[in-house]
Amino acid sequence: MRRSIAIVFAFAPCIARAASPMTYMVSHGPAANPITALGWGLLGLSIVVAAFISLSVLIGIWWKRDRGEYDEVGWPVLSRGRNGMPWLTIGVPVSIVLLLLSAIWTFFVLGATAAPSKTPAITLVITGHQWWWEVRYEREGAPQLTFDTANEIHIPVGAPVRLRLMSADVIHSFWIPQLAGKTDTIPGQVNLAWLQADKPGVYRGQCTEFCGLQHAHMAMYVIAQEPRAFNAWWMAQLRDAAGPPAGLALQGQSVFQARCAICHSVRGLAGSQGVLGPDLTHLMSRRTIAAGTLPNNTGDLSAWISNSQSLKPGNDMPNEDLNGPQLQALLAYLQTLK
Amino acid sequence: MALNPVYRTPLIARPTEELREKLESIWADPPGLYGWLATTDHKKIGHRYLTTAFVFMLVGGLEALGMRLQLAQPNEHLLPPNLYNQFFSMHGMTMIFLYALPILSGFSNYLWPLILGTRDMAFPRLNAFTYWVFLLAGIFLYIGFWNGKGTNVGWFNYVPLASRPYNPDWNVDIYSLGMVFLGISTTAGAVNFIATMFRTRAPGMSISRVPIMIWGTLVSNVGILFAVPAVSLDFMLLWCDRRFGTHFFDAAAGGRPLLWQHLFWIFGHPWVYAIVLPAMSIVSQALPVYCRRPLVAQPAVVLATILTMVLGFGVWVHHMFSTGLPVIAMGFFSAASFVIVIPSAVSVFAWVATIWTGRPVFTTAFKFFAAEVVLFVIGGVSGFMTAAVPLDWQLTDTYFVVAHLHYVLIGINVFPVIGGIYHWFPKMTGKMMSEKLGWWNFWLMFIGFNLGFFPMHISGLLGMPRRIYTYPAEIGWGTANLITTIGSFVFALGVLLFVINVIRSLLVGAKAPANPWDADTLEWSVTSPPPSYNFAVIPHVATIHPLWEGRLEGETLSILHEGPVLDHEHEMPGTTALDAEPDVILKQPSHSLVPLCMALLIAGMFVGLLLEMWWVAAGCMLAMIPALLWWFWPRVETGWAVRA
Amino acid sequence: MNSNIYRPPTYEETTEPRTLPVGKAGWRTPGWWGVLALIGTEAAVFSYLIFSYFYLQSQTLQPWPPSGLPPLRYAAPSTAALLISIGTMWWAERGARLGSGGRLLSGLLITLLLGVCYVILQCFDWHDEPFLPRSGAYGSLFFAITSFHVLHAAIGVLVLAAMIWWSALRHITAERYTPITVTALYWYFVVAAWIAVFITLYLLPWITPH
Repeated sequence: MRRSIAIVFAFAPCIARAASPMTYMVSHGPAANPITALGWGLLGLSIVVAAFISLSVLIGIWWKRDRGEYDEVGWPVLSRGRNGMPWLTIGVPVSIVLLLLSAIWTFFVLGATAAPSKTPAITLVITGHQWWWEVRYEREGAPQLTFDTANEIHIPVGAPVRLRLMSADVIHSFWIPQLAGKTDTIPGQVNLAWLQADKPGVYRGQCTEFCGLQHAHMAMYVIAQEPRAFNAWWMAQLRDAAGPPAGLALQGQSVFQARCAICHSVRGLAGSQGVLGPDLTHLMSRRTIAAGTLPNNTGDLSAWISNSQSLKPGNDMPNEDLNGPQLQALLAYLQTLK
Repeated sequence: MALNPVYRTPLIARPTEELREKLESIWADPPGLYGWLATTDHKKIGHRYLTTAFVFMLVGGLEALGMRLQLAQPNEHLLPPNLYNQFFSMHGMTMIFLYALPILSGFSNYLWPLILGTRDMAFPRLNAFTYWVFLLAGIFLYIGFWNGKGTNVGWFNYVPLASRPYNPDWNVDIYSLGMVFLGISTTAGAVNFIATMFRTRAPGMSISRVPIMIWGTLVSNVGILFAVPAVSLDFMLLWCDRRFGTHFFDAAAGGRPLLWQHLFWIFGHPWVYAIVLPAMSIVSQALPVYCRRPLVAQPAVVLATILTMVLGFGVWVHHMFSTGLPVIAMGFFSAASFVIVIPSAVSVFAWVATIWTGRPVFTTAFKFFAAEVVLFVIGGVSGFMTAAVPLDWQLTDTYFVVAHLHYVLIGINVFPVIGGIYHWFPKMTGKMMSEKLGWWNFWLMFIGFNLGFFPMHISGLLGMPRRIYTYPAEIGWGTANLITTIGSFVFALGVLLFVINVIRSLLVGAKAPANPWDADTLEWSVTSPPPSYNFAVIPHVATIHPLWEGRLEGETLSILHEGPVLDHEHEMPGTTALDAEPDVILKQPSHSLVPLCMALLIAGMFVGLLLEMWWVAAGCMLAMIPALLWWFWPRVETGWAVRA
Repeated sequence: MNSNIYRPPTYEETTEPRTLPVGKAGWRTPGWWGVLALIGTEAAVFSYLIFSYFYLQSQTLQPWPPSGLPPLRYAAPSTAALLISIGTMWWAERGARLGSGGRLLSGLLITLLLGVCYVILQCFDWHDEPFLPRSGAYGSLFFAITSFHVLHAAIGVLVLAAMIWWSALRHITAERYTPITVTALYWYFVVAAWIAVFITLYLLPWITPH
């Protein structure tokens, strides 16, 4: 166990440098760390075994090739051959011992990661949709603190968070590689999982069960914050949208009510309780839109509203046929959803 | 009105020219189109299987190249998502169902009767039927692809994405019915191989003298018998859900999406063994030939083959570790998945020991077989990693698994198959293949394969999920994917060179002797290519290496050139299951159109079901009754009717 | 020489001419192995259907079966008919071996009639069930399992009819009776499969607490 951790520390920086934000060969929380160690350990064992057998084949081919007699066509003479049984009588028991050790390690890791060591105070109810993630925050014993958001998950550093995973349509799989392994979201059942981040940062995740046309564009982010910042974020998210805006944004609000509110909800805005699309109450607090497809800035937001079908073909949001002033007004309104 | 005699004492003799001519006139197919359509010659059917399956592999390969172009760089727009999804689904379906098993059935069809020392399969017409159903089912599975109705949910077709609300078009209906259709061929083939093994071996080939190539296919087919029903049932239930509004998988009405996965993987995992065990047994059979010694620990390898299949039925849940199952259940299936490594280790060590203690001859076939050993170990250890439940939570559904399954299916299926063609091509065609082209062929395939598929491990470890049609630039998967794409084209070049070598050798290859590789089993005791009747007199087998025993045992015990002359119509000996004592003279049916008619009626039925033209389906089903009566009608030549 | 020591058969022994039966004779024909393999695969389908039944039962929170206990009004007599048909099939098969055409024909005919009885009774049973295949997962599975079994019985009836025809044409003799043996093997399987289905679908709900 200790040696494998040493291996992890030796290799991890190389990987982390090369790396993708999605690599699970480095990890940052107790739901993933034992798995990462196991991964490096079994990977190392696998490489050793594969190298050993490959070398054996190569050496076996060339070693002693030219000794012995040849028949009339120049092939080595057929024979019963030397005794090859030691390969099996040694190789198979050694394999069994290695398997047994791997299995024991696996079961320790399974025990360590199946459930968090302390009961989580926060529960995230996550519902997979084609192709975005609906997130509902719940705190034990405080139903008034519940609110909805989408695609971006903030968590406090150093505390486990429970996940209740569900699906609104087809099977998806929830995965934040550097924080925990995958758990599927399956219609008709609720799967439990948990994760915890030990250092602040942004962790990317992505749907990993094929879920249709836009399976490739179904990412999510976990933002781990210090508890104080996290609580502030929660309180901000809990608030309704700011009161009626003025000027251009006010026109935009009526565009929103006419064109967007049937699918999207903005808490505090009359007639906007749509549930087909993500909750937009605090849209501007998110880093990306369309489940990690585009960065959240005015240009991309504008492109998305008017042309979502070519940016993410097949998604449920139609291309909104807005004229220039309407689009400008709508964007101005969306800017107020901080 | 001659009485059909009940007993006969066959003459024991050496073959004469006269006898060969008589047998040829009995066993050769009639000329022309009729003979082509009606043949029940296992050698022709074997050829057809090999060719058809290989063509399907080329088609599946082109689909793969399309995907690789799309993934070569981030944010490409070559294939839109709806096409990409069909490409990877059709690619998986084609390679796993229309290539991997049928190509092995091709080898087995061609080689079994020759290796077993007999003249045909136990059920020659069923054999022809099996091929026609495979061909028609393959075409059926492809009928929608040209206009966007190819299956598009991946080869494992998870519900509810494959259910009607999320997939209303015909894509999945074609796939569902096509799979049930194809299952008929697979199952019928398995029945035939099992009956052939237990009933038609040459006299003296007791169970301990059965060559290992037979064992691999037999075990695979016994597995198929119990595994394929699960997937046929699964697809049938899905089709009912889609077309008749039943609720097997519908969570809203008491069904369960996970029922699909259980049934699918109860089939799916044994299926993996069904498509690798025969290929492994090709290696076990032919590798020792080039090492100039018998296989090390042959009985242990046979037992390991059987054990693999038995355990293979107890590990299906390791495909479902992330579906939220109880920890205890996952622990059990994880342990079982570790245990299944042990019989694989037995095979690997036996091969290494054979190479190590033998004196290898460097033919192209040998290179492919030796490469298989290495690729098997790489594919094996990555599978071993996924057996560890918590690690699988990370690995599953990433490119690591894609790398693993390609090392398994290309490493343990394609490499032995290509090696097997180099090995048996002289026997099947009477022509030698070019060893010089073979050298290029091998190295292009080997380097291309590793260049293409090894980086998939890396992209997997970097977190790239399977089945995404594009990925963003900043995420760091670009390099690995570009190398994969380059490697896949090098690999494709190697396959192309193989095709060229086959065609060139057919046209201008050197003439092959009966036993060019100095191999040990009975197929090498007859001319290349073998005559239509295989053996003029029935051989008597006394050891597992009939052609080597003079040199290995010091004396020749098997009797190959004198034996029972069975020359009254299509005859071959029936022998007892364990000792292979002759106990009957089997009267085999000859050429017939009834297998093709039955296959066409079944195809008509499935087309009727697909188009919901119920009267077509019902008409075809009713027409099967007279067709089957025709098939089984008592005839003197099949040794049943009392009088003609 | 000690006769207990194994020695391989001599050349003369292995090439000595033997008198062998010809055609569909002998004890276990290829057809016997073929149908045995077919039975294996069909038994697997029934196992997977029954697995699906218990799996969905284990996952549901609703009463199972949802519409109350399954009625035995038709299922019990149809079970009895199939059980009796084991005896009549055996009677026919022994008759064939003994070369008794009368025993063979009468046995086959009664077996066929009992099979038809079963199919008709099962149709009544379907008609009386308070649910449809579309009513829910239970109904879907109930009809899938029972209709799959009726399909097997119907195929068995057709095979029996063909055997009656061929027996009447005197193609079955004391030497060549294996088609009857193979038919009997299949029919025993149909009955055995029904017993499994009957216990699962009809009996277990009565004897397990709700």
